[in-house]
Amino acid sequence: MIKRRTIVSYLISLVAGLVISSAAFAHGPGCPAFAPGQTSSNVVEQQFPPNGPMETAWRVRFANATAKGLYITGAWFKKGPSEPWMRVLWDARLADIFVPYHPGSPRYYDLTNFSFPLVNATALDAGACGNIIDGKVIHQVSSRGVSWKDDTAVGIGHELSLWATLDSANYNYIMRYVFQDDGTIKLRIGATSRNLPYSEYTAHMHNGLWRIDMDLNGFRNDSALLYSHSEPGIAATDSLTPFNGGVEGGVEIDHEKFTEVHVRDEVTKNAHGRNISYEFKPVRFGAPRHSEAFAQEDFWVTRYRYSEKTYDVIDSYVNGESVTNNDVVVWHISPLHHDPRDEDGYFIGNSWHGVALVMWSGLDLRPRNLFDATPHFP
Amino acid sequence: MRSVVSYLCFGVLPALALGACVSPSSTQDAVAVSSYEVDFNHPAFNDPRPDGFEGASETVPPIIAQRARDIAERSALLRTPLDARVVYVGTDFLSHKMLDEKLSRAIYRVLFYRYSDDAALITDVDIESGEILEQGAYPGRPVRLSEEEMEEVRALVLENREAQTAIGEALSASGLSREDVAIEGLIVRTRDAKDPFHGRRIVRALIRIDRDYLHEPLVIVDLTAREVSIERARGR
Ligand SMILES: [Cu+2]
Repeated sequence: MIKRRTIVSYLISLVAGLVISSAAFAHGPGCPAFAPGQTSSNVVEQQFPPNGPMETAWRVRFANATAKGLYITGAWFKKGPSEPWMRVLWDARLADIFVPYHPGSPRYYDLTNFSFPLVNATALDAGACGNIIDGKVIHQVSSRGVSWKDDTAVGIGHELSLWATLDSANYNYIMRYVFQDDGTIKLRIGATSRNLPYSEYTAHMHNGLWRIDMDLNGFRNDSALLYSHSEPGIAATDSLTPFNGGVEGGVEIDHEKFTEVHVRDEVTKNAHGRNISYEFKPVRFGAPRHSEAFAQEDFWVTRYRYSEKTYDVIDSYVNGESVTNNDVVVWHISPLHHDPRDEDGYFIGNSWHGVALVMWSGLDLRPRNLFDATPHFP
Repeated sequence: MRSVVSYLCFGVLPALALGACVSPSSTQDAVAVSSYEVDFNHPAFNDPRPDGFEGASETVPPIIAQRARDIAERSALLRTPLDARVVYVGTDFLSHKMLDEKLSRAIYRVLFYRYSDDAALITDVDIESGEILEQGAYPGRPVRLSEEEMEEVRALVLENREAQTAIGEALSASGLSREDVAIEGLIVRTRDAKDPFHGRRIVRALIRIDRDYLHEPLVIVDLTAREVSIERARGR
C-alpha cells in the first residue's frame, strides 16, 4: 500500500509554500525578505542576511497542538554558504507552565492539566512584515539591531521568529522561538491578560518548564557539562566539568558562579579542532524554590527517553543514566513573579477591567566554537 | 495508513532505513544507520507525522484518536467495571526518535482519568501494530478535563443559584445577553495530603461575560462528589 497522503500533500504544500514565499516578497518596503520562507506546511527556512548573499541559514520545523501550544520539532543550521545543514534541535518546547499562588493554593499546570488552544492570529499580531501560518502561528524576520561594533564599522543582525498565543482561560501565554543569524536560539514565554477572577490581587508565579532536546550534529555523542565561575580572591577561574559527574541529575543556578549547562558534541570539531557546543544561558529574575521536587533545581539533565515528557515528575526520570557521550535532554525552569499592580486593571462593579502587561522569561542557547570565526564579520 | 518507519522500510527509501527495518518495533534504545545524506525535499523528512494531520497541527484527528483509544481499552488496566468512574480524556501525538535523527515513528499517548484514586491512566500505543508500548496508573499526576467533564462543570455552575444571580445582575447591568456568557474551568491540584482538595477532581469555575470575568461568586466544582460550593468573599 502506498502512503497516499505524501505525494499529493507534498505537491500541495510545495505550491502553498511557493505562494506564501512569493507573497512574502510582496511585503512593504523595508521588510527583511523571507528567503525562501515557508517551504512546507510546518517548515520555515531563512537565510541571513535576508536581503543579500547567504552567509548563514536556519531551517525550522514546528508544530502546534491543543494542550501543548507551539513548539519546535526540528532545527538545522547552516554556518556558511557551502556548509551542510547541521541538526541543532530535535525538539524544544514548554513541557508545562506551573502557576502556584502565594497562599499555597491554587497551583495550576497550565499545559498538562488543561485543553487550552492557541488563539487565532490577527494581522496586527503579524505586523507589516509578518506572515500567519495555520491561522495561529506568526512568522517574522526582523532586524535585531547592532550585532557588533568596531569603531565606525557596524554589523546589523537579523532573526527569524515563530510565535503564537495560548488561550489559558483568563490568561494568555506567548510562546516565542527566535533563531538568530549567529546561531543563537532564544526560547521565551510571555505571560499576559486577565488576573485570576476572585484572586485579582493575589501574587503568584508563572514558571516556564522547558524541555530542550538538543541533538548537536545528530543525537549521538552529546555530553552535558556544567559551566562554573569561581572568584575566591583577586584572580578568577572558569571551569567546565561533566554535569553531575556525568550522570542524570539537577543543579541550582548560583549567580556568583554564572551557572550554565553546556551541550557538547564529542565528535564534531570546528576548523580549530575544538568540539562544537551550545551554552544554555538562563534569562530570568529569581530562583523559584516551590515545594515541588522538580522546582528544587533550575536545570535538570536526563538521557533521552521518548516517554519522558512530563516536567512534574522529572525527579522520577533521574536514575543514574549517563549524560556523557549520549543523547541528552536539558530541562529548565524560568519563573515570572507576578505581584499584581494597578497597571493590571481595576474593578467595574463585579467585573475586572484591564490586562497584565506581558512579562518575559526563558533562556538563550548560544553557540560556542560552532563557527571557525566571527559570524557575519567581513 | 502506514507509519513513516514502515513507509521507509518498504517504500521509497529502503536503503536509507535499513537499520530500522530489521526491528521496526524495537524500543527507544534503537540505534540504526550511522549517517547518510538527508533528502530535505522528501516529504517524510519535512513531515514525520502519519496520514491525517493538517497544516502544522499535531492535534490528533478523531479517527486516529479513536483507534489509539480502542487499543488502550483492550488492556486489563482499562477493562474496568461499568460502575468504576474512568473517563477518556484524549490522545496526544508523541514523536519518537528512532532512526538516527532523521525520522520519527508515530506513537500515541492515550489519557484516561480514574476517580477512585485520582489517577492518570497513561497508555502509549503504536496504532500500526496495535501494540501497547508502555502503560501505567499515576495517582496525582496532572491530567486535563475531558469534554464531558467540562460539560458537567458548566451544567453544575449554571444550576447554582448564586451563580445565576450574579450572571443575571451582570447581564442587566451590561445589556449583554445569555449568548455572551461562558463558563471556563481551572483544575485545582494540591500535593498537600491535609488539604481537603487532595486526591479529588476539583475545578475552579470562571464566569466570563463577553470579555470580562466576574469577580464573584467563586464557584468550586467537586467533580468527584458532583457538588458545587461557593467560597465567600474575602474582600478586595
Ligand atoms: Cu500572573
